[in-house]
Formats: sequence, C-alpha cells, structure tokens
Amino acid sequence: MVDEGADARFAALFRAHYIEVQRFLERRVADREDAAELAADVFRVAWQRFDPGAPLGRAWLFAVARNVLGDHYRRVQRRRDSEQGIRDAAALDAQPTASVAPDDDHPVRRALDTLAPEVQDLLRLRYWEQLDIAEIAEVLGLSPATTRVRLHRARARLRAALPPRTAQKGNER
Amino acid sequence: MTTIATLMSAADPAATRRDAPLPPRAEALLAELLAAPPTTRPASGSPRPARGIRRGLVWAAVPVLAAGVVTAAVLAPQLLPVAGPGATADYPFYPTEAELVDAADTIVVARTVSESTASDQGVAYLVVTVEVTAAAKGASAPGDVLEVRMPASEEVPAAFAVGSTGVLFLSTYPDAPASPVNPEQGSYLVDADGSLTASPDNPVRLSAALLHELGL
Repeated sequence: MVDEGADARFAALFRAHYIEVQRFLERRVADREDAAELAADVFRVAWQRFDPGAPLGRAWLFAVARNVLGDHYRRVQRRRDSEQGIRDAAALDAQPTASVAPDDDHPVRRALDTLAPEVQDLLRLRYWEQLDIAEIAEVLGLSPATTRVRLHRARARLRAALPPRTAQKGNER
Repeated sequence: MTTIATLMSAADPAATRRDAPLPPRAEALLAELLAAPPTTRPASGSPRPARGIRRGLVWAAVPVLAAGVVTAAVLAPQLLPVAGPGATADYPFYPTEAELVDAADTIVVARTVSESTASDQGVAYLVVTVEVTAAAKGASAPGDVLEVRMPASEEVPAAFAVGSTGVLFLSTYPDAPASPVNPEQGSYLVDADGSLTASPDNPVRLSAALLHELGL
C-alpha cells in the first residue's frame, strides 16, 4: 500500500539533504561520477529504511554515506589488488585514498592531509559538512562529550600542522 | 579574526549553496525511488529498529523482491549505521589521576539538587543541577550551580542521585551543560563520613593532595 505521507516526508528529506550528501562524497572520492553513483546508493538505502514516524535526519544520512563510502573504498582496494600491474592501475591510483591531489598546494588542505584519518574526518564533518556536535556524535558513534573533546584536539592538531603564517590566522576556535 | 572554521571553509573543495537546486539526475532518482515502494520499511506505528548509537543492534535480513531496489536491498544490512556493543563505550579512559585531572575542565565537590530530562536530536538526556561546595579546577566556586548532562540510556552514577554529593570531573562548555569526562570516572560519591566511592570500573584513587584541595 502506498503511504503518501511517507513519500512526501522522504521526498522532503531527499530534497533537503541530497546536495549535502553528494558534496560529502565529492570531497572524498576523486571522480564526481562515482560520487553521484554513491549518493544514489545512500538514498536507496535510506528509502529502504526510512521510517516516517522516526526523527531521521542528516546525521543518519551521513552515517549511511560513510558506510557506503567505506564499501566503495574496499571495492577500489580489491580492484587495485586484483588489477595491479595492468593498465587500469593508474586510474585506480587516482581514487580516493588520498584526499589531496598531488598538485594541490592549498596550505590548509595539505596540512589536513597530514593528520590521522579520524582527525581529518572530525574536522571535515564539522567545517565542511557543517554538522553540529550532536550530529557528528551520531555519525561517528561517539558521545557528544567525547566528540567535543576530540574536536578540540583536532583543531589543535590542524593548527600545529599549518604553515606558521597560516597558523597565526587560525589561532582560535 | 580568522579562525580554524574560516580556514577550513576556505579550503573546502566542494563548497556549495545548500539551497542549490537538485540536479536532474537527482530528481530522476527521487522519482525512481518513490515509484518502487521499499520492501523493508517498518510498519507505521510499530516499534522501529534502533538506529545509530545503540547497543546490540541487529539488522534483519533484507529480502530482495523488487528489481528497482536490488542494489539497496543487498547493501542495506552492511551499510546501515550499525553500532556494536562497544559503540556507546567509546569514551576516553584515564589510567592515572594526573590524566583524569588534565582531562577535566572543572573539578568540584557538588551536591545534586534536582534532575530533569531533555531531548536533543532525538537522544534523551538526564540533566542534573548540582550546587558546588568546593572547587579545585575551573571557573566554578562554592555556591555556584551547574547543570550536568548525561545520556539517559547510561546508568546514572550514584553521585548524581538527588541529595548525593560527589567529586565531579567535568567537561564544561560555554553554551551547553557540562558533562562527566566519562561515565565511569566523571564522579566519585562522597559518603556521609567523607570517604569516597569510585565506580567499580574506575581504578583511579584520588590523592590526599587533591582531596585536601577539595576540603575532603
């Protein structure tokens, strides 16, 4: 039976967050086409699990997106393992394990790329995805208190990794 | 003044307006999804499976019935945010008093005077009001009243029962209630005779110097 109310609520969720989810993925995979396909996977999963009576929001969508992304990374790694030495290797090397392109000289992105993956993840979720503490906590499966502590430390680590002149500009939260 | 937030925003490789119109392929995807009813949606009004940060979450197998949703149906069990038994236990743990003291923004002796519940982003919290009687670290002073928030799903430490007094190790924030540094080490119950009772999972015993500073 078609639940028109559920359809409308899912459509609203989709319209509110599709762009954010796609940007989240574009920031983490080298190929925009891959990002679009992964975004479609995220919303297919969301549609399967969407409960119109539950307060599902973007934090849950981002948690799904992270899992979709992890699965994508594993597929890429498997392909890389199985195709090593053949002509696709170069293309696969452009896939997402590195977040910064070799020719990217942006000082903040270069500094970010030197941090541990979990630290990068926190900073990106906060400042690129613009999730609040509670949302980041839900996405990462942490308590809000732990998230605040880790975010505080992550900011300090990024500040320490920045070139001196840039770091001077970022000397507060 | 430039902040880390500003620097990060300027470094965003995919900055965009959140209200940008949906691309045509997204519109097509939405139409495709709405045309193929999900095979696994919980029945309206029935208890829904827990999502996100929950203990012991088990997803049921997902039947594959509709060709249009094959990908999602296959992916759903492994892609949904599954939290295992350790998910809610992912707190920093401090093996020594020095590390515990360093982790806390505020260390006080305080009596719990009231409690209430609150909900934030769908998560239920217990919020207790405590009255500070002594302080060893942070901006609080005797007589101050603090709010301390903790997940309602966690066992509430004895020190936060109304009428109890505890030594509290808190993380404090300018725009939100404080929280224990972690569930096991955020509080020590002060008994009627002045002795302390730590959580069974907390091996750290407080030094005489710190207790002296707290007037205990």
